[in-house]
Amino acid sequence: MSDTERPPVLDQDRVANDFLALLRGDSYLSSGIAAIRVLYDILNNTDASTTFQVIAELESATSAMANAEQASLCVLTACEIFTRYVTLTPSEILDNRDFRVVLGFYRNRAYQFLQRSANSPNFIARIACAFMPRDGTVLVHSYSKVVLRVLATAKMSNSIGSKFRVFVTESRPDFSGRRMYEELVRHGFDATLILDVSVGSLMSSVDVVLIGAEGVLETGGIINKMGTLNITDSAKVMNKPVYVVAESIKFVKKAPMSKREITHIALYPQKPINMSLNITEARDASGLFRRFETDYNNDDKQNHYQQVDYSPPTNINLIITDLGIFPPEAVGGELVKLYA
Amino acid sequence: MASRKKEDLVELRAKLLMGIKRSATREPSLKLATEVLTFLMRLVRHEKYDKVETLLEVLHENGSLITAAYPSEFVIRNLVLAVSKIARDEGFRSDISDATSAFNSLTRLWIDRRKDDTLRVPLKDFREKLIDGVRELQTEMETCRENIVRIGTELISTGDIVMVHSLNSSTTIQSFLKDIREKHKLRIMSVQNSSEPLNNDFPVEDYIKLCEAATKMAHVTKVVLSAITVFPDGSCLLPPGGRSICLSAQRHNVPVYVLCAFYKIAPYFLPDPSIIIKHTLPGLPFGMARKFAGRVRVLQPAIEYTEPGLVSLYVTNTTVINPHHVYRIITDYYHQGDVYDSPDFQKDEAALNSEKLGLGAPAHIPPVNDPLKA
Repeated sequence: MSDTERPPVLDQDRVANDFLALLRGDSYLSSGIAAIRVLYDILNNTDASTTFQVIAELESATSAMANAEQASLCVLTACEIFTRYVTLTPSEILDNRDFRVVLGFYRNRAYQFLQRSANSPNFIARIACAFMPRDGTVLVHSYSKVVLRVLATAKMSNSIGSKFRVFVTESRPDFSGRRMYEELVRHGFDATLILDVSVGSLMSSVDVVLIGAEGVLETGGIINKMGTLNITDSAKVMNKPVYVVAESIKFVKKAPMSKREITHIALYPQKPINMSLNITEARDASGLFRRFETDYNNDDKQNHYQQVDYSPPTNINLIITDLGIFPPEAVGGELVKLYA
Repeated sequence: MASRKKEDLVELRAKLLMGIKRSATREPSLKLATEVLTFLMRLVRHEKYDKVETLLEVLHENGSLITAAYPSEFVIRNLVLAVSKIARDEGFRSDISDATSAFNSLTRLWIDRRKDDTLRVPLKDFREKLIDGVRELQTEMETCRENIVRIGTELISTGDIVMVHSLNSSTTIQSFLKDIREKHKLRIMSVQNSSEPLNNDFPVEDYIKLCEAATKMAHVTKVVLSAITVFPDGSCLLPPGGRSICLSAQRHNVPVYVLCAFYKIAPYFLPDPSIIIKHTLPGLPFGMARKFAGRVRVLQPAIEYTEPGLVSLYVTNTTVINPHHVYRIITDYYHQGDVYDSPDFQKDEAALNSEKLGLGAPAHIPPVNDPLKA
């Protein structure tokens, strides 16, 4: 095969379907790790004959997955770090005329990366469970697989004890907090579902705030489900420790300058608020409870909400990753090593 | 011969632990650090090993025994980790020549440290190199006080009013003040507990109580404290009263300089300060004990946890460093593999299998394809 002959174009739909099938098959699988698994398969089955073609294939697979249903920021970052890691080779190997040797090298690297990333939630849970309070309250936000794993590990780990209770925010409007609540109850936790708006007043009875992250930025700040900024701000004011648990595949090499840039980085679409919800039990002007029905037009562009928000590094105490435990200031240094 | 040496080691360890127990009050940490390092040097010299892995196991075993006896003395733990890092460095250096390329550093970041094969290679001259490394550490420890004093005195100028704390228990602060007094004309205010004897062989202008520190802070220009331990995020443990002084200093915008030798800087974090706080003096005066027994609990913590924002600068024996940058010097003395991959974790790993947690197995890892047959 000559260098000018391009490999067959990647079937984007098939890639997206494989990705979604993996996610549906295991509900505790992180989307970043599922994406890496898909890329690993592509790399093993590729017909590419140059590094350029390999990278092009991986990038086209990345965009296919990013456009899929359950896309998230972590898919993009995981794929980018995977591609960089796999294709970083010492010059002795690259100079080899036979591309199969180089490809074999890439496949080895990919396997190492996949193995390590797949184990990273376990590693994080091990080192993070020391930070859970013995006999206190943990506040968590929305649904996060890593946070769930940390809590479950802390409960099982004999040296910590398992008496802490958990407050979960409801996290409207998609009610992902309810899903977290159901999981926690299933695992035997003393869990309480709280309103998003009550975080400020309940912060005084909380001992530790534990949140996941969709992305960890170069500044040390995090991008997470909308509502996180409220929580971290209240925690800071009340001097409660905020611990972020995130795998290193979620590190994003970007520093946002403004709130608008967050949207740009996160690539999350704005979602419309469901205006046709029946709001019951609200008091009207005369002080009586009445049943309200709203009848707004859903296409009204004004009533959209942002899905994620940015919490600055000053609100965060420690970021716990599979590369170690860092204060937020140290993230930039680690990122340089990852992206060097 | 070997068994006699082994008994000697057990005896040495027991002697070390008894020495710590015998002291009634908290002794200056340099003494403890020197004793621990001497013990570790003997261990390195006399124990039987030819591979890095064996030595690390021996270190870990002995280290965990002595730290278990005094879990709140972080200095012991730090020194065991420092010697372990020297061992790993010597092992690694002999194996890979080109350690600084981007490829190697990224690979090292990602390779599963427990399965790192370089540790299993037997090495010649390993023992000599290791002994040299530990000896360097000993020299650094012997000179650390002079270095701290030398570096720190540049921060103080003539006409300053300096507030210090725990003067009696910290020999570092005593040397520090002696030195600056020779160089500059200044006033020293020492915060004393009422039960502590006055340090008469050291001239101090004002002796004040902790309750007066806040009011006097308005006149103070610099605060100098001595840390017990410093953590990578810049937080520290101070003798009791230290945190209150830092808070008053913050209110009056007075810089707080904290002196700490390198063996006080820990590579791990303390999740919950209350677990290591030990209480020193008996809580109640003896005469009142009968009347209040069972009804009153008087807390006299020996250590206070201070946030990184309250300290202006840390003065170590090599550098003056901002609290938010302490994590950068951690890598000079400690290795990540020791901090995060200790054998204790591996014991728990089997128990904490994902399937037992009910969270599903990790992502299915496919079998390795032979790259040349692909």
